[in-house]
Amino acid sequence: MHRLLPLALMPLLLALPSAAWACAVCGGGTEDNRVEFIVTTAVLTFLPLGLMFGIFWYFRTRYLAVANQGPPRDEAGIPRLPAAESAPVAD
Amino acid sequence: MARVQPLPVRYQIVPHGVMGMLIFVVTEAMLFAGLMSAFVIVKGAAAVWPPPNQPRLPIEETALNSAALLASGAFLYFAGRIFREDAERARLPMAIALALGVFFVGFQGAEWVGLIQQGLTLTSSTHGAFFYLIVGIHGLHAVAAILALTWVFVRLTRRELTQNQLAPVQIFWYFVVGVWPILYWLVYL
Repeated sequence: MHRLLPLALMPLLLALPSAAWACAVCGGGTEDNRVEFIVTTAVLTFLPLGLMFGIFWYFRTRYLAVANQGPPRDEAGIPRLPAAESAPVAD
Repeated sequence: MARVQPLPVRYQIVPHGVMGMLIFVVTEAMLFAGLMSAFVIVKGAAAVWPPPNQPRLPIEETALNSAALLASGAFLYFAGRIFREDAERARLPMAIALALGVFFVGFQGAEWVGLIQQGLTLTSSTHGAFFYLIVGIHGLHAVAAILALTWVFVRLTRRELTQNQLAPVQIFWYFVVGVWPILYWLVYL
């Protein structure tokens, strides 16, 4: 039972909001501050997602460009494959 | 009898340098985003900003310096385009881009000396602390980008520069140039 006591008392911490004065948002407490907190939260949430999406979009564009171009060909129009990319396969 | 069957051929769609630099730039963007968020929240919590009895930042002079940095980015862009057609002709725009970058960092240094003499230091206020932290980290990036650009320029003059070497440095410089107007708007205005 005594092990569960700290857990049972934990909700009481919610009644102590002044303990969070170290937080700039809680410490500020103004409307401007609240809006800025929401805006920066949104920026920090969506910026990495946007950056990753941008990189994947760039890769996709490059992939499609290379795929449409096809393999490099010699003067006779025959696809040129590097020797290292070929391997003997037994029947 | 054995026959030769080609394995699926792998094509490089993005050079390794570009790939690495893109990932690096994403992490750096998040570093600046974090710093800017902290700055905006602290600024919003202050009753008066900038704090009283603190020197004002040189807005007009820095606007001129910002124009020099943006022009540097434009010159590097044109240098990159010209390089693909004729590497010899890319020397001049790249030299101008490099010179403008050096001018930007030098001007920032002179600005800092003036501000420190006026009493704006890291410990004078949160204004000073954020100013030197954010602008200083950007300055460090600018110095690193100038060193990289110098290396690229030396290789160009030796006719050893390749497109795969130029592209990552271009990306980094564009990042340094692109993030500055946001910092200027947030910190100076």
